[in-house]
This record gives sequence, C-alpha cells and structure tokens, in this order.
Amino acid sequence: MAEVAPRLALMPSRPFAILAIAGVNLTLIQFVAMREFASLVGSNELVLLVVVSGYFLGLSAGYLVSERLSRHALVALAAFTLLLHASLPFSGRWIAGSMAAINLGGNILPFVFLLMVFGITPFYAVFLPRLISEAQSGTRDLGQALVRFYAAEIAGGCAGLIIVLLATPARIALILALHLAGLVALVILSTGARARVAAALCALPFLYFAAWGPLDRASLSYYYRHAHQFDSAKVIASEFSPYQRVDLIEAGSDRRPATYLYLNGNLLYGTRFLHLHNLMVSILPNLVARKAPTRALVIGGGSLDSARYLAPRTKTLQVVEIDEAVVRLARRHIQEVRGGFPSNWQLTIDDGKHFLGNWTGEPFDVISIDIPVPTHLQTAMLHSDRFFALAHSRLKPDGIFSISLAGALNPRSPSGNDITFSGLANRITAGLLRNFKHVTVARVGQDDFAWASDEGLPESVAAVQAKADEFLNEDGRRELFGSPRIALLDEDTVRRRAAGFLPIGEADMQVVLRLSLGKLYYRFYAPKP
Amino acid sequence: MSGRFLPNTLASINIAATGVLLGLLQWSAFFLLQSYLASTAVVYLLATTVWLCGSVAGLLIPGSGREPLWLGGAAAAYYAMRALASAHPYDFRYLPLLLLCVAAMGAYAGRFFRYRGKAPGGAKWLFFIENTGFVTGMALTVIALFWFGDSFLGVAPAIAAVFCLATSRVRRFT
Repeated sequence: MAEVAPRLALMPSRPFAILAIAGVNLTLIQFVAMREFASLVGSNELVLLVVVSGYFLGLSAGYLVSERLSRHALVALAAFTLLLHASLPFSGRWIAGSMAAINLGGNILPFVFLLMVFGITPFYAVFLPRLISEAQSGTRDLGQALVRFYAAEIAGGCAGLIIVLLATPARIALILALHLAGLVALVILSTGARARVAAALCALPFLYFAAWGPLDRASLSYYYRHAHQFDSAKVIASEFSPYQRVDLIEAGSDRRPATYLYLNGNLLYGTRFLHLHNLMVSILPNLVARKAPTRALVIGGGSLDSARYLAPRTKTLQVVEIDEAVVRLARRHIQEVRGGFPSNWQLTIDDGKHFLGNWTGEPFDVISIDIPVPTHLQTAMLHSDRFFALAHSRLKPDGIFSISLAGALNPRSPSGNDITFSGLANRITAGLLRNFKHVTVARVGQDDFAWASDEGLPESVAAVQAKADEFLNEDGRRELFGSPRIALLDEDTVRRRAAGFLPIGEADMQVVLRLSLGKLYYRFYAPKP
Repeated sequence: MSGRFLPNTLASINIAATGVLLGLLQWSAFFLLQSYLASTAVVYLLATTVWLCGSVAGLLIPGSGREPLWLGGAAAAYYAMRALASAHPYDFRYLPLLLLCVAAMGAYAGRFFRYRGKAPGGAKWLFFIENTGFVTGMALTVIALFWFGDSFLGVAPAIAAVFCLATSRVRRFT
C-alpha cells in the first residue's frame, strides 16, 4: 500500500487557506484557458465546449485520485503542475506552432483537451475531498467539514472573479503571476516544503512576471508564423479582454508589411477579402441609400475601417462594439498610424442587440452588422429572426439593413446530409425576408451580402458599381480593396433560394455547431489539394 | 448483487442527475441573460458571482430538511427568470430580479452538498460524480440544442428537476 500522505489539516486555518487559494486559482486559470487555449485552434463554440469540458473533467480526475495519492505522488503532482503552469501560456503556443509546422495541426485540439484534463486543474481538485476525509478521520463531523471547506473554496472562486474584474483588460501578466503565486503557496502548504525550497519557490512568480514581455511576444510570434503560415510575424500588441485574446500582428515582406487583427485566433482584419467585406457591409449601403448623407449605425466594426471611410460621408455615424480593447488597439495600431483618422463619429461600448433594444433616438437610415461569422451563440443571436425584427423597428421606412451572408446564396436543399452544411446564407436570407419587404443580394466573387429594406434598392447594378468605383478611385484605395465586380441577384432568385429554410432562431446550435465543425474540418482535417 | 448495491446506485444516480441538472440550469440561465439582456462581460461576471454567492449561502444556511423546497425553488427560479427575461428584453431595470433568480439556482447548487454530506463513498465520490454529471449536463445541453432547438430549454430543466426529486426521495427510503 502506498505511503500515507502528510495530513494537510494540522493547523485549524490551513485547510481554509488551501481551499480558498485553490478556489482563486481555479477561477483565474479558467479565465485564461477559455481565451488562450481556444485561440490556439481558432475559438468557436465547439472548441469552447472542448476546453471547458477538459477543465471540468480535470477536476473530476483530481477528485478521483485525491485520497489515493501518497506523499511522493502528491509532491510529484505538485512539481509537475508548477512546472507546467510556470511555462504557460508560452509552452502551449510553441507546441501548437510546432505541430502546425510539421503538418500535425489537427492534433492541436486533442492536445489542448488533454492539457486541460491532465495538466491544468487536477492538482487544485485534490484538496477538497482529501481535507474532508482527514476531518472525518479526526473528531470533526463529516457534514460540517464538507460545508465549511466547500464554502471556503467557493469564496476563493468569488475572490478570483474580483481579481479578474480588476485586472482586465491588459493585465494578463499580473493575473498569471498572481495565479503562479497562489500555486506556489499551495505547493508549500500541501507538501510541507523546506524553508530553502519555499524561499526559492517564492521567487518564481516575480521571475515569471519579469520575463513575461519577451516570452509572450516570442511565443506568440512563433505560433502565428507557423500556425498561420506567415514568412515572418511581429507582435504589435496582444491583450486579454473580458471577451477574447486580441492580437495585432505585422507580417509580410520587410518593404510592405501588413497589419492583421486576430480575435481569439480568428482573423478579423487585414486581407483584401476582409476589406471587401467592410466595403460591402458598411460602406456601400450608405452610398446607395435613398437619403444620403445617412444616419448610419454600424454594429461591430471593431477594426474602425467603417469609421474611417463613413464618418466623412454620413450625417451621423454611431459605431457599437462590445469589446473596448478591440477598438482601442485598432485605433492606435491600425487607424491612427495611417493618419487622417476622423473624429466626427460616436463610439458606444455595448452589446449591439442591447443597444438597439434601448435605442429611443431618431431611426437610422442604414444599420450595418459588421461582425464575424456566427461560430458562437453570441454572434448567432445577431443573425436571428428576433434581432432582424428589432433592427427593422429601428430603421426609417426607407432604411437599409446590411449584413454579410458569410458565403454564397446558392441553390441548396434545406435537408443537406453534409454535417458541415449550415445553410447559413439561405437561413439569414429567410430571416430577412420574414422581416423586410425586399432583400437585395450583392455578389462579389464567391461571397454574397444582403441589403434588406421595405422600399427596395433605388439603384441599378450599374449605379451600384459606379458608386463603388467612385469610392475606390480615391487615394489609391484599390491597393487595399482591389477592383471588385459587383453583381446583384434578382429578387425572385433570392426568394427561391431561401424558400424552405427556417430563419435562425434562439440558441440555434444547428448553425453554430455546423459552422464550427466546418471551420475546424477545413482548416485542419480536409484533404489538401 | 449485494444488499448495499441498490441504495448506493440510486444515490449515485441522484448525485449524477443533480450534476446534470445544475449544468443544464447554469448553461440555460446564462444563455437567457445573454440572449434577452446583453452579452456583455459585466452581465456574465455578475451572474457568475451571484451563482457562487448563492451556493455559499445554500451551503451555510443552517438546517438539514426541506430539500424538495430548495430543489423546487431552483427550478421555479429558472422558469421565473425565463418568463421575466423574455417579457422585458434588453431592460436592465430587471437585472436585480434576474440575478436573484440566478442566486436561487446557485443556492441549490450549494444546498445539495449540505444534504449529501454523508453520501455513500465519501466526499471523493460525491464531488467526482456530481462534477462529471455537471460536465455531462453542459455537453448534453449543447447536443440537445443541436437536435431539438431551443424548445429544449423550456422542458429539460423541469424534467431533470422532477427526476432529481424522485431519485432523492427513493434514496431516502431505501
């Protein structure tokens, strides 16, 4: 039989301290893991489910072995956990980047899951059952011990939330250094480390904090270079916001580097396709509206391209973005460095549907939804039937509602057998047709964009192309946007292709999971041509 | 099959089912807040905090009886929240009431451990089974939403609560 581990509850207050620290650390590491590890594969709802399941299954693993651990096993688990956490998040990025470099990118998600289950949380889960069991073997009442100890751990969790609230955004190094300090305290308290060892361990969080800057940038740069196939990648800025990891990467040749904005590992800004997305969703609808200059609302638009190009052309421009960090970093590192960034527009940090739900001002001429593809429920809600009805109620009678169809509105059967087929373009169109009298679909290349209204689009395709050309001919914009050829689908075709599809409903996991699965499959697992 | 198998098995089923129920309740409640109020971090952090505070309160409030009341209260709080949130979308004036409902759900999450302090197998199995049930509840919610749509959020918590109530009473009498 294994040697019995040292009793953890020798001092009356020690169990409470151990459990409170474990509670704090569990909250801190959950906050980081949900952003950092999900970013390694490009976050979506499926990836988040894998990460959060790994987090909780790690707790289950810790509970399972808690009472069986010998002293040596506990010390070994403590040492392993300490080494692992002292190397995170840098080691995770290097490993994921290396996997991508040798064409094993498909293994990153399983790696993240196993890391969560066996590395991140088990050590923290060992203490609660172990301390309760020790109390049981003493004189204390088991039920009372469980109540008090578990309450201490949950209270620690609440304290962790307060730390997260105070330290975000931008102070991720502080959060992880505090987490490491908590882990060191746990190791010392639980293993009865000698004074010299304890003193050496106490220096670890300070060293970690001091080394954060260069290690963070080097590991992120390595990860982006290999996982996103850049020749070189320089990290301009990286922050953990309350919503996501926001990275600004400069990549490309030395003479003409480009700036890319990534949110939780997903590209939001920087390619010609994404510039065209901004043109079609935010800019062009305002140029073709019946009453120009318009009262314009852009929901999303964190890159602030809409502010740059629309503010000089609109009567009023309101940009509503949920994540302050995205706007702040994009303004500083993308827009202001280019010069000529306008100031005559309003920014509101809020959830788009909450903003619209509470809007009591004058209705808008154009509402543009400039957000990523709905691979999370949060973004799917901004494509739902209910949201379209809300947006319709906040538009003028001749107003335009503009949104990307995230692909082509092709003729498809609603009951496709392909698990990755979400019918997103068809379902968004079905929702728009339920709430607006007319839906114009503009096609550029293989991508469609919907402009919904009650009075129809006033312009012919030639006039739309002319307005686009007029905009693109200014200041060498064709370098960014190219020379897109715009086609308009006739409305009968649009209605026919949406027929039989249901609008996106509440909690629509059909769309979200199919898109998430599709993104993972085509990025990591689909046969390469 | 030993004579102890039945009560232990039923007790374990009850603990796992409660884990599933709590995963379901937490996921569904947080989704309701995001969908009908706002998807902002403040709402999420407040909801998490009051869930945890409710759990601490449920653990520490003295007493050892009236479990059906606490369980029923948690389920009722979920449906009250659902009705309130959908009747007043995007209205922050109702946030305190909605958070009160979340706290009531969290209270049973804590209270449950007070009731199961002497569960067969000790604390290790209690936490292991409940926590694994919680993960299962979360995953089930996502999978069920895929297959059945959001009507699942209307019926599943009630079914799970009734099942937990039934197994908790059987456990008591075996």
